[in-house]
Amino acid sequence: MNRFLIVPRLKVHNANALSSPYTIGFPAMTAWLGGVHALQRKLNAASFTELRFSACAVSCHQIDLQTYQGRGDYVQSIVGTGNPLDKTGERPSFIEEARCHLNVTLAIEYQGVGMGDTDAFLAAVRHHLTTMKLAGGDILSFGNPELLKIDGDIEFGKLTRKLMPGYVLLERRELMAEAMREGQDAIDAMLDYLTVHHRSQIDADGQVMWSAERKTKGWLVPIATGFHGVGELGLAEQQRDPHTPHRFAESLVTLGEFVMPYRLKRLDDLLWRGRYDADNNFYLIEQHPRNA
Amino acid sequence: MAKTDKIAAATVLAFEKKLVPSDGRLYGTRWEEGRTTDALRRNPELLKKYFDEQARKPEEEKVPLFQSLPLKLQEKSVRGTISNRLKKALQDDPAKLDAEVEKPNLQTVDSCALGSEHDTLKLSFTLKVLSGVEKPSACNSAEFAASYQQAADAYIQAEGFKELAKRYATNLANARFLWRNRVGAERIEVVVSVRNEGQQTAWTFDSKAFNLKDFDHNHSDVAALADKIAAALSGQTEFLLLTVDAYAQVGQAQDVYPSEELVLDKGNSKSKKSKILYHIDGVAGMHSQKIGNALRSIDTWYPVDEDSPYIGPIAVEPYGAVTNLGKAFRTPKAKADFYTLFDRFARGGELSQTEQHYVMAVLVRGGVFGESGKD
Repeated sequence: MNRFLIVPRLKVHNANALSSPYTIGFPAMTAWLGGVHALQRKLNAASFTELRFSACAVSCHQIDLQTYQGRGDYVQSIVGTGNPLDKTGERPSFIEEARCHLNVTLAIEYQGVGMGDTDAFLAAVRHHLTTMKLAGGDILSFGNPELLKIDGDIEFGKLTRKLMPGYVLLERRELMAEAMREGQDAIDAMLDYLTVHHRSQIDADGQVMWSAERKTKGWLVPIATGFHGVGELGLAEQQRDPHTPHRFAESLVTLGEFVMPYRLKRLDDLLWRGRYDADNNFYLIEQHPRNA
Repeated sequence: MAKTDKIAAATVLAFEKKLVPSDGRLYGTRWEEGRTTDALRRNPELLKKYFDEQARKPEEEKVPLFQSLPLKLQEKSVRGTISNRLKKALQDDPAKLDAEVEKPNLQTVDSCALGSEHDTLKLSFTLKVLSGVEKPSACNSAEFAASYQQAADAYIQAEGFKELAKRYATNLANARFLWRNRVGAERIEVVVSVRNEGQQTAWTFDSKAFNLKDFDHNHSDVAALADKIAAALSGQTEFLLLTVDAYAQVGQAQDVYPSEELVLDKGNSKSKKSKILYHIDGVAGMHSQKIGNALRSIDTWYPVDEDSPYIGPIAVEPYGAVTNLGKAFRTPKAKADFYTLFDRFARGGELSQTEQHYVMAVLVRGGVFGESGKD
């Protein structure tokens, strides 16, 4: 039995659109799981001490990336924001930050809320979500949160119907792994899947036919799925929180694919979970934890 | 009072904004029909009654409810003239001058105007008011956070955000957020409605009745709205959700002014636009930042002297910056900037009442205010 909290049609304004250290687009999964975890901590502090949010899925109904492409432009440029003047009345230098407006539905798997508490639980979720930020953006509005109980993969359709129409991210790490087994460098492997190859063919009549294709089918995108600790745990000077040990970390980037939820057949293909791998210093956000 | 230099500095210090406006959407409408039908839509009981009446009418007498139309951006290409100041050498040589002036100055710009059947601009946005200004969203010095929270709690106890809330409410009522669209409008009306569950209140303001230069008035509806805002800011209610609809009668088919987009790299193609306006899925829009700036234009306490005279309320900014004047009204030299005052305020020092208002207004605005750890 899997219990879900569904937050439908969540509108986020000016969210951080840095989806990985190299790319802009849909906000990174780390941002969403971080937001869900923040909500859990707020609820834990407010009388739901047993509550655990164990996994989550984000279905994107609409994304409005703040970029501009004029007629005839090859590249898109980021639409910026003007910052307030400095103390001499001069304009400060521009900081290019990618932003986006989003309309998403969150499905959060939870444990530890009694049957009798559901009304109080939903009211608390409504209250805390209203005061939160998500993926760096402001939450403007959301539909009425609801609870959904499904029986594993058998009733999976009940859940995916709530997420339609939209796109969810599917982890495609196996593509990277495969390419790297064949001896490719990680960044080469990724670019190989993202590149569009244009090829020409001359048929018998001398007509030239052009075709454009990628290495595999599907809407593949680079995504950030966690962090790799590169330094030792310890105290850093001027650290953000004086009571928590800090360490240097770098982002983990791999491939993901946007799919419509109705194409998925198993819960494991939909849900993202956080995991700490102490041996390798990995702070992971991943799917298919059983195979890992 | 605690010694000011004993408390450790917070190098990581950030506050989230407590007034959260959405983007504004621009619609074209007619003054009478637009306002009355929107009033009907805001009231579910009246709307139901209206539809019941309509349902009883025979088919040919039924009239559809008047609908405001979303405004679209238009692209214009115009042949401009050369009208900038020319170099001295050019001015003295008539032949060269003629050649210069005869050059066509082709421009492509975005523009936005009401339709010919519409005489009124409608701007709609929502505004969320949150509490919790006494807690920084990030702070790495527990000592500093505790000392600051004490000061903030004392302010909330003593003032309850009454003065700030009155000014925010006034800026909603006077439609300052319409910016240039406010200029030359014949009539302006703002309807503010509470959207919290179970509270259906709405106020209608005649914006032209307010003086934009100060906040000295005793308007009862503004006071009622201010009470709600003050309650939310000081944490007595959990939050406040407002919908704001502003109507400005600017005249049929007149130009209106959405936000302009800040695109640094416009590419090198010849047909590039010199002005790009903001839209949300095709609806002309005003940036939330621009609405926020108007709402927090409440600072009348900045120092005034011969070089910088009083110019009316300016937006609450750490250096009192006014972008269109290219000027900072609160400089560290005059010891009136936010950081000077905040350091004293947060460490238990004394501030005058107006200085406290200003410091709290900057914290309501939000921002990153950490000190450098180097010195």
